[in-house]
Amino acid sequence: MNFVDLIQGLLPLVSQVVPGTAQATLLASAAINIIKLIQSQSNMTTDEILQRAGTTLDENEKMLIADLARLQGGGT
Amino acid sequence: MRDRRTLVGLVLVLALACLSFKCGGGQASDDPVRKAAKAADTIAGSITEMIKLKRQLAQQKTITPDEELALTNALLKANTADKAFLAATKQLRGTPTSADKSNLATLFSTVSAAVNEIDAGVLGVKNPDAKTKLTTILNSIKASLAVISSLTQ
Repeated sequence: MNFVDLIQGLLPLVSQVVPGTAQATLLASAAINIIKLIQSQSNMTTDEILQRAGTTLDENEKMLIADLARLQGGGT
Repeated sequence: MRDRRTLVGLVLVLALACLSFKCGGGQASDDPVRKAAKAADTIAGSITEMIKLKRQLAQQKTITPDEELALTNALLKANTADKAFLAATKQLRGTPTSADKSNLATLFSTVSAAVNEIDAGVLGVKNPDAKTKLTTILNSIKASLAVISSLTQ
């Protein structure tokens, strides 16, 4: 387990044990996911990176269209 | 508490900048297509994290529905622009020609304009803590933009 995995594993525990850290761990989780994504690129071929980016962008589009429908439909 | 969050944000920004430019495995030696692929992938992943963060902030009512709508529209534009950039990158083989660079420059300006819209959406968020969190993720997208910019010159 590398350092980033270790921090990621500890985050849920920190948010439960240390009062008021839930907001900070929210941001830390997002940043760790991006750091892991960048780290993983070094073990991938260029074609694999291109393919993953395409898949991620397709998934993003679905999530954003769902959010637009929710927001414009007045739901929560 | 707020100082602690700011510190966490600063450390994360530094870590992301470090990974994006120097410490992530010798990006300087990467060929232009690989650099572009990495940048497009990082932007895509950062948009994913921003969507998740935006949803959580909205659920907690830390951002208003109007603020979330502005962010959603801007993120969709950036996502679409990154898709176009990715499609152009897939067509590249070897060192980009001047025509390739010109095409990439046009697509880069579209991605850049869309990211500026996200920036405006984040600036419109009234809650300072929510703004700080969204800015931190947005900075990773801006770091990737800098990589793409270097490819179009």
